[in-house]
Amino acid sequence: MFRYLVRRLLAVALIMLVITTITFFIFFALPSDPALLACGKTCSPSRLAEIKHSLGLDQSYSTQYWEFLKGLLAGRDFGDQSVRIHCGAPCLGVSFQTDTPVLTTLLSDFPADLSLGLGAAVAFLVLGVGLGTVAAVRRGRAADKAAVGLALFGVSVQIYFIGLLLLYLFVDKFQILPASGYTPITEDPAGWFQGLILPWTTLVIVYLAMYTRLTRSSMLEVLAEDYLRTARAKGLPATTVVLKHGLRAAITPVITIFGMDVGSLIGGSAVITESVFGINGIGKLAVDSVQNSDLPVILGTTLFAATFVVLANVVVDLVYGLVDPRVRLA
Amino acid sequence: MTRTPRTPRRSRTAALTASAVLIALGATACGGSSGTGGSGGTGAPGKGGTLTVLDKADFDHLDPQRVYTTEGSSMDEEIVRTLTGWDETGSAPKLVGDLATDTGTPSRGATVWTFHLRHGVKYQDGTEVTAPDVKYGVERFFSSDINGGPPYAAQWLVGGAGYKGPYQGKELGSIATPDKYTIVFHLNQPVADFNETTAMPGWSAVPKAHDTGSTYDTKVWSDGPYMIKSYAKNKELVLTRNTHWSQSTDPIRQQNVDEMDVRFGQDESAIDQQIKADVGTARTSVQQWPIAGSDLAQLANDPALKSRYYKIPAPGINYLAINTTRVKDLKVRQAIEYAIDKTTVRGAFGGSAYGDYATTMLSPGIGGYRRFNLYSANPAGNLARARALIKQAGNPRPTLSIAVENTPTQEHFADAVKTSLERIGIHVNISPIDAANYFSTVDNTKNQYDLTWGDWIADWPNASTVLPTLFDGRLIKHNPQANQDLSYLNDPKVDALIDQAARMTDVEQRNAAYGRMDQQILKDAAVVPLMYMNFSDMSGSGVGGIIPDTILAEPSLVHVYVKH
Amino acid sequence: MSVQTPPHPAGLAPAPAPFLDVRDLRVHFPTEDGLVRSVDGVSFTLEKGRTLGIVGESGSGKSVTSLALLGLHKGTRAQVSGEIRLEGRDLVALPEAEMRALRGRTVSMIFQDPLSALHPFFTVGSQIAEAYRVHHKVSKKEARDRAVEMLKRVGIPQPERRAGDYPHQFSGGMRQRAMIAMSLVCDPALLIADEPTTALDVTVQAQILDLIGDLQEEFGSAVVIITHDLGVVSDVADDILVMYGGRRIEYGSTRDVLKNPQHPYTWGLLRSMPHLTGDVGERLDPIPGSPPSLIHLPGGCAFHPRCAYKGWVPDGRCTRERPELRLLSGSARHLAACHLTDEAKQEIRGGTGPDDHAATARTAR
Repeated sequence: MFRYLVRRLLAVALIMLVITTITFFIFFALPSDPALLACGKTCSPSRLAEIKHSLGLDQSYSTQYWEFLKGLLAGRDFGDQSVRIHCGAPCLGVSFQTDTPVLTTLLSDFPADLSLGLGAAVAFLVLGVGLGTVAAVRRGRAADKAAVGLALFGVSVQIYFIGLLLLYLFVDKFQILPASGYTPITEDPAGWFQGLILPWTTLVIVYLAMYTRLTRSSMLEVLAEDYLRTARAKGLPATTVVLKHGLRAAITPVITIFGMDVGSLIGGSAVITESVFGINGIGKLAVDSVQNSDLPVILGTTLFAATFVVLANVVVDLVYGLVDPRVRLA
Repeated sequence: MTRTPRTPRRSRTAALTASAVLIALGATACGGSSGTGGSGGTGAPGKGGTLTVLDKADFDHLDPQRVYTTEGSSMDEEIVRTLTGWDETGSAPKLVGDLATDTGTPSRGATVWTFHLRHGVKYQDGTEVTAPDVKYGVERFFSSDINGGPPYAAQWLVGGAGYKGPYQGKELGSIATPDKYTIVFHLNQPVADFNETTAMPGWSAVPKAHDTGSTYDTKVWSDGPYMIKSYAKNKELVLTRNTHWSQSTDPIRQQNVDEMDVRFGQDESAIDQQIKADVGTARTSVQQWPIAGSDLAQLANDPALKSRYYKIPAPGINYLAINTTRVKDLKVRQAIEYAIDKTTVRGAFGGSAYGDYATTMLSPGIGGYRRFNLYSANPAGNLARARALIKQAGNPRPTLSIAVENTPTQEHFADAVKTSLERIGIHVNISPIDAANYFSTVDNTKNQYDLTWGDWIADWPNASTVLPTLFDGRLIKHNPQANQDLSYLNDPKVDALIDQAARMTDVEQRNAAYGRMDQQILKDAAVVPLMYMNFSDMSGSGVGGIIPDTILAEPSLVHVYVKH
Repeated sequence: MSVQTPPHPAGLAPAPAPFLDVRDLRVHFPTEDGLVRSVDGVSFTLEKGRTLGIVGESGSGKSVTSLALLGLHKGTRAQVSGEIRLEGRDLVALPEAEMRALRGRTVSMIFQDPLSALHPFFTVGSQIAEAYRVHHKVSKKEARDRAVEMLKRVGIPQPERRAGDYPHQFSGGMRQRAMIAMSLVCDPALLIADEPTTALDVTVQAQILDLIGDLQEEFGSAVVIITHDLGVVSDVADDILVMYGGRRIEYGSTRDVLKNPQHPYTWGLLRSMPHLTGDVGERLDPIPGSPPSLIHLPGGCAFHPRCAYKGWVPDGRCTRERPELRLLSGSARHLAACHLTDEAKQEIRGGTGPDDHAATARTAR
């Protein structure tokens, strides 16, 4: 188990390195020039050269890459003129745009993504698994049709539309909730919760569909299993049969998808939701960084998101090992 | 001045339908929600309260020497005082002294400009603003760390070419501070409207002790009515009263609200919807980014919003450049001028709320503007003339490329151009370019198209910040990666007029020269002016004192207050 | 033991009532294609301490019958009618809640494939303990002790340790023993074993059957063994019920049915039975053709399309007329449903095996 974990984590590190490398070189293949962008609209070649130098973009790609890797392990110092910016290990670089160490920005944006992603994930997991289970148990009846219909609705609506609609209804029209935005939980737990209700709801509506359907089909399969019949034959109450024996087995495929979703949500994949509700998370940071050709931030957000997806994978495998005793981690 | 083309690339189509539907929904569900009290400067300004400013994205920069967007410049007006400034309470903007006692004194054929500073202007720590601080501020322009700002200091100040900024302890000799309250700029050429340049945010004081170099964006040291209380980049900027500011030294600003809470990162349509609904904090909110194109027609025609809807004419132009080195035949270019149907073009950009049809490159309100129309009197075009001109050119039936941003708006625009030109036998190939990289692509001389879309907003309302930048053919080879002459026009007549106007110190004479220049460019049929742009913004019904700022095309907050 | 084809005439109930009395049991499943008559009018009785073997091919309705005994069709689409009287109580009419209280306690079941019938994610011990705890108010510890004890009873070595293992860590025979331990944990009065040995190899089969026999003796339970293999029940069953197409076609004591089988289908089953004494590699002789559709059961005798001897019955009665279950002349309780006359049967049975094969081949299609 411990050796397995070490091996997996080493593999994660390797994957991260590969992702970094690819992102790095794709960036230079793009037509946009961060120096030109920083320089402004009327930019003279000499000014451009200076800015290139101050951003370190005048060095060869391989040197820049090497510096980046070195910074990751040992930290770096930036800025040679107006200010020295120390960027301690693990240094993901300093934003071209804001001159802030990327990691600092990521860490300050992270609580928003964590709150948004984790909160929504818990909700859509519980609701999706619940609805899916009810639908499976009541297969073909009204409850099943309602659950499947609800799920279909969620799958067919646009996240953007749902977001705006919820804002309109709950904030603008009925004024049940205050104008949205992210308030750190440490500052104001009630405000944190209120501000996240609509973003959570939006994500839940969209993700619920898949979880309901996945749970339903998985549960239907399990309900047909011999061991469920055994459970009933023992005289167990129906709820124990479904919730203990059924769900335990039906949940495994759901866990896999859930792990991926949580990983990518926490890593900042809920860009549209962030943008509609004015939550400044890593997703928006990533999109902005691409538009601003802000290489260090592009690298940082990519790495950050990838880390969570890959780590989620490891966690899923570990959880799998706990849930299914037939899986041996070695 | 640029409005950074930050069109959201994702979910744009969704944005169009979704928000249009919802905005319409709002119109039926709560039409007439406001109704109480107009703003626009009526009523006595109340004191106190918090103004919320809703922005789609953070300012690129707030550092006065780096800011070059209208949103950032407008916000800087609250924090930073410039040598000169615009008093916009009258019918037309009036240049006044801001830090300076007056609008400056030119001498030696407008190559030397002298400004005297007001006494008793205080920073947020109570210390007094002095001429060396202004000198230091302007010197910051030259550092490559302080990038992104306008180029004028480097272009005009003597010795600017070799100067690398103040951080290595070097000063720029062409800025003299003979005493604490006097600052003198020595220019390498006559600049008759230099005192309009100095109304830009960078011509301001930065105290050396509080300069944090490239991280100054979030730590701008205030000498205006408001100072930074907290600034979480990309999240929230909170401004609070600068208690050391005094109304008696400031001819432009007021200090009515207690705080300004600037929130970044919400989607444009969500902001539009919120301010329209006018409840909660939205009641005391104002937007700086213009209303989303998809919401514009709806909101512009909503009578309930009239009192808090600001249609602000920008000193700017939306145009189609014709590459004169690729479309060499003047007759073909003139035929294009006649053939373009500006009504469908404007429809693509959002209709009449977007702006008026343009016939000149200079827009009304810009010094040098002269009203004329060399081509079709009907904005829908004059097909007969266009066909006649094509015939005279020998019916070449060319295929032309057109570069536009890859947004639905611009692709509709390209379709309108294509339809227009096909009527006279010109085939058009549309090249959509990634919106975020649009200008860096088309500004690179390696990427040339026959037709190129562009827009331009003057840095100050004078032709000198429009025509020389966009049409001086001699600059093309100097800035191969940042060429602004999208027509690749290199007309000796235009170049001569540029040089002539530059030497003129009499503003009237100079404006006349720019008017002739505008006409010459249109005679060359180098560009099809499409629309004089407007920018539209809204505020909540609890906001008063908004002044439509036609210099920046922003809702100016200098007199803003919230109603109680 | 009494054998009645139709339900008892009213007021004529014999005393004492049998322990298990199934009368005219029908289990029908409505589907899109039509009504599936899985069990169609089955009756039998069983006393405590006795064993009934229900024999038939897959699809004959034997497993559905066993599920009906457990009341597992309750709450599904299945339509169950008839009576299942257990100690006088009719299980068909019993509400689910009361049935649940009986399930696993009074009536319990050993399932066919212990690998799929045991939950893969729970330990063997916990699954057995759960079966105990659901019917007894005991602590987890007590239930676990009981589980270990049961594992020991069914002959699992080191039961203390193996109780913590998962089903996949057990061998096939051990899993079946664990299954048996689970079904016996509440001392059931009626034990149903559905193909308890199918998944096991021959030596283990014998051990398991012995075990069931031993435990039956110990607990005095009534046992129903369901199998497609007459060989399995020949040694352990007191009575044998042969089912085909959801109906009874032969029913009698094991001795009668094995020594004097009355139905061509039973003959087929007997021929396909591996003889422990037979030569290794002797070809088994399965009945040609496939089981009938339970939606459109063949008219007349349901077995007629596969029957090699329908030519022996005049006027094509086999295809037209459904044979009644008749008491064999000279027997008190040996029933069979076949149009063949006793003489014809005698003649056919008197003939030698190889001829049967030829006859079968001729009429198979």
